[in-house]
Amino acid sequence: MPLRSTTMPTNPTPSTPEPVYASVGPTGPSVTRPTVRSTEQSSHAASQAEVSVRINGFNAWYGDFHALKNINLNHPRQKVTAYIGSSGCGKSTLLRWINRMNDLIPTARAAGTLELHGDNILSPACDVVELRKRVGMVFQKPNPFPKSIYDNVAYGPRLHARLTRDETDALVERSLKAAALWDEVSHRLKHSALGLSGGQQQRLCIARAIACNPEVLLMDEPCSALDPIATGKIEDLIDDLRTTYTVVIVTHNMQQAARCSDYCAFMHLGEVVEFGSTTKIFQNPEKKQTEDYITGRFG
Amino acid sequence: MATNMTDQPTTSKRATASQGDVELLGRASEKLRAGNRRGRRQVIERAFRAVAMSAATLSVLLLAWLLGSILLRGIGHLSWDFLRGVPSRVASEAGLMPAVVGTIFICVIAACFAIPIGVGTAILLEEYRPYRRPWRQFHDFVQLNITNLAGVPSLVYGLLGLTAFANVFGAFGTAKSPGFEFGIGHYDQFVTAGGIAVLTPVDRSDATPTAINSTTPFFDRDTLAPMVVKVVEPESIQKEMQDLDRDLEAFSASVARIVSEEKLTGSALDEAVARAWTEAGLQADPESIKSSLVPILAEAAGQSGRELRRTLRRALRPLEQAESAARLPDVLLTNSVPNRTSVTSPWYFRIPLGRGVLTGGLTLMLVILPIIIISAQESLRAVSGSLRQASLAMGASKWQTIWRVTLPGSIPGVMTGIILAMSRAIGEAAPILIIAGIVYITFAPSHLMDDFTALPLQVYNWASRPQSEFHDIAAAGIILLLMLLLVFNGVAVLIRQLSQKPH
Repeated sequence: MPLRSTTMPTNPTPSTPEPVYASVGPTGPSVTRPTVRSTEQSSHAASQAEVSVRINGFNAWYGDFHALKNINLNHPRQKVTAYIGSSGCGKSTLLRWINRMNDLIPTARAAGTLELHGDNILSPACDVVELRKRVGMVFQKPNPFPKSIYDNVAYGPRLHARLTRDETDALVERSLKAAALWDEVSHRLKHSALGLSGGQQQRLCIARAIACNPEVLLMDEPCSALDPIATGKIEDLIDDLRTTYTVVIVTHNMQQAARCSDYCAFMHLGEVVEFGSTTKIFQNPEKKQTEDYITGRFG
Repeated sequence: MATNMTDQPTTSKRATASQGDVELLGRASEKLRAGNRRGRRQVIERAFRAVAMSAATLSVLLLAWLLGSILLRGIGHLSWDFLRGVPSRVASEAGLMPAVVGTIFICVIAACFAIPIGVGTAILLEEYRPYRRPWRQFHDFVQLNITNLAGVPSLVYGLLGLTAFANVFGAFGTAKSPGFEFGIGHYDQFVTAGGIAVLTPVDRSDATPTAINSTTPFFDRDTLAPMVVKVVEPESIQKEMQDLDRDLEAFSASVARIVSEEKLTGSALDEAVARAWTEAGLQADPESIKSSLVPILAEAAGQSGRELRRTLRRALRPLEQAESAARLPDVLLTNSVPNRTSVTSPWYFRIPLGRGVLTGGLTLMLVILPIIIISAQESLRAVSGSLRQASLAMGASKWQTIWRVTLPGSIPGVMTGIILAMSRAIGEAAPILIIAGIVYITFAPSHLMDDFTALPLQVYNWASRPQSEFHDIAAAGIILLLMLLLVFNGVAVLIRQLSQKPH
């Protein structure tokens, strides 16, 4: 992975759409990450692997607007699943239903099956606090609390348990190490988190999310506000996180989806057009629409 | 593809544009290119600048003039004695202590009630915005009222405080005979034949006067310690009273003779008076009255006739009291008429509250509540929604999010609002005028129901008097008020800066 983010264009430029995508799009994944996945996985492997988040016949509305239509997606455990698609296609909506963040929007409602390890997320009996403890979330813009770095990471654990000083210390250190931030901030844990750079802040937000020991980590365009170097670090981090967590990531960046996801769902106008292993989606998509999108001819 | 799609409609529109449009556009672009309104623009620019400058200068000058004249008048009267003294009929002896203590009392009470209520209301309005209809309408109703209340004249709040707090709509009686009270003892005060005041407890302030008998308990007026008092019929001590009168008369005749006929002075006078004392059989300690008796007698040495009699009467009055206290100290006549009195503790409380410090503070709370609510709402709104989401996404409950993220983030704004509200409260005169009235108060309030006065009221009182010395000390009071305001605002700035600084 040394090549990525320095050699790849992070955004399509309108002047040269065709040649760049024709050459990079399909070959990108095989070039950049042959080492990550040892075995080629077929599209039906998703259904065979242990499923972390199961979405079946799922529909969601904002008022009268039908935002998500009959979604069927199985997120394999300890894999990275990416949602790609044009703006307004419902990627973020779907992501935010997984930890019920859409509860904050009064007009939002949903129907269908949405399960986290067999537990129905949509049921009224589901405790949202417990659910969000199990499903962490990282937002588009880094949003650390205006507290110290230490207090930011300790925020979640302190909400859910009465921890001793030593236990909190250990948890903070582990989370910051897992987020590859420990070496940079270990000497200034008591300093304000707002003094960190954007990339560091976003990694702090990841550390904060994983401090609660979640099972699933949702990332809503975590790199869209970051420069390429910070983006590279976050992507490295996502690579490491997959060994422990099930990661779901929304991204507008095709290369990013290709580089760091195992599975990929292409969405369009509230529907999942195609879902399969990232290699397959990028190299041999079944649908013409998918191919058009990932090669930049559409969207 | 995308660019093609957007291009097409534009070109077609241009193609269908009429010849007239093209001409108009051409003329407009010609004017834009040639247009040079530089001279006119500069004139307007300068004129507006001058207007703004003069407006600012005028207001600053007026303020400086006002402050200067007040400082010149009042600064000389500002002294430690002025701060510690109590109001007086003489301007040079008047002080501010009751007003300062009263102001501190009502401001602290107002803050203690207004801050939790105001911030709580702001949290309800901002963080617990309901979606369902009846609740949302209730919410909007509250919001509308708070916005309107901010503009209500404070005099109206004074009337409201008078009705709602001082009288509690008349539902619990009056302040004189309240429906509920604790921390107060009501007493009937009797004076014994020896001139000592004793108290006996009664149930209520408006209870019927106590009929005393031998079992009535009595207490000392100052210490409230139990006292033994002999209750007797007036007839039974008639002889003692007659003896007392006879002995006193004998003594006063001897003294009159000593002074007017023997014309003794110095130590001879002392000895003669002491002898007369023993001869008359008086029981009081002669030393106890010597200090008051002898100087007056010395004064009487050169007098005669009516003048002498008056001086003697003056000299002997304390003696009569001392003598009756010595002979009949704890004898209470059954026909003594009591005086109703009460002893309050520092935690005295009653409903209705009456026109006391608590009512004043609560009325000020009404005045500053809208200010605190609105500023707290604004600062809560200013806390980024992404922080709330981050907290909620980690499984924090709504209350945890408010307590740990939203409220700490809004502290600078909330504090600023509180301090602004307090500086309004400190200078507010109208509602206090309605609650307290202009009363001549020479003591600091000792409990929450006590009468009080406040700085603005005291200043108003002094400023409305005709003598110019009172105007000077009114200026000194204004200086103190301004200094308090300055301190309040300084604290506000300090807190804002401290809480905005990242650690």
